[in-house]
Amino acid sequence: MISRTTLGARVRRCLTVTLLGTAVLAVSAGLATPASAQPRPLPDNPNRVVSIDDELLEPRASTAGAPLRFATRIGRANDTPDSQTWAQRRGRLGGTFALVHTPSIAAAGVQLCADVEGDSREAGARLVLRPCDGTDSQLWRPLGGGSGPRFLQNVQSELNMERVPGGVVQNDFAPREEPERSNNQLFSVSPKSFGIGGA
Amino acid sequence: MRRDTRAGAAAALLVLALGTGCGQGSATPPVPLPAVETAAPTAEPLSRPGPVQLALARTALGETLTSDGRTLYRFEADSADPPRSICENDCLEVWPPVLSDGSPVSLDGAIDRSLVGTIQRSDGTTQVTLGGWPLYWFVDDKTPGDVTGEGVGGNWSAVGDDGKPLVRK
Repeated sequence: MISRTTLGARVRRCLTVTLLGTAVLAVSAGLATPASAQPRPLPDNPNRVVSIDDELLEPRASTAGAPLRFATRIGRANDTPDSQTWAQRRGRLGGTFALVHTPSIAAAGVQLCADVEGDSREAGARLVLRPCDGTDSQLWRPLGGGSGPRFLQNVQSELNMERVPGGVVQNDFAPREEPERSNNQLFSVSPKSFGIGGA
Repeated sequence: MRRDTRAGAAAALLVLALGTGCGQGSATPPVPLPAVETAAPTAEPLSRPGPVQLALARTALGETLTSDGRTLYRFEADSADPPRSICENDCLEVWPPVLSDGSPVSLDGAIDRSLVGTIQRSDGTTQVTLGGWPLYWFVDDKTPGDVTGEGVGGNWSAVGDDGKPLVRK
């Protein structure tokens, strides 16, 4: 029998993880079906946030070429601004998705996606905003078991998204001696409405 | 009544919280998803310079611009004025450009010759344009009439005889 107090604490402690985890599960289940050849693309999962700790993925500017970074979440849940949200768009390959920056969709101009600078396959290459072109360097595959945060592997380079000071790069899996680096490769992709943090 | 609903929701969350093993560390080992296709490496360029013929064909989207029997697309992130392609690197593997060997582009069907042009790509090759828009095939189109590149990534459009998108974005 778990006491009421213990239970309450445990729920509070796990609530964030569970909510994010459930979202990731739901999202990856939806993406697991291979894309079939059809002229009309399937609808996006709009208004997603890519989070790690209390930070969200955002570009330094809403323009092509702008480097990506993780920054403190602005606002809570549905108040999160478009500049910190992305549409998850099914990729050409099953189980993969592109991240389309929300302001570029709203502007009805050229849509901008999270991409690897110069389409590099090298570890350490930075991530930038580029016009969505439907290519593998703009596709991400969630890796990792369980319901927690996932590695986000770039489909072309097979390197993982990693938070580094001042920016975001692609990098290989961290060896066991570098758990801190590994932790900087684990992200949740979830509806912004599930967010709890915020400044 | 309202109280009951909230209690029910709380209980559901509780079950979720207890059932997801959230006491575990966050660094879960990587487990690749099964049955994910990988793009085959391209041994040779998908398009190489040659004589180009533009034609029109009936597809699910309407009267569609084609070359070599395959649907042609434009990239909305390119520009028509001045004509410019920003599709580089892996973009060219998925979207082979229509490359000319410099001989006049031949036209089959009601295509306005004054709309046809070319641009010099950064690698020195010559890409055919219509209405100023550089033209590309899509690697996943396999048979005539396929328009699977329409809307891919949000910025690719199958075009008509005037080089304009057949589907309004």
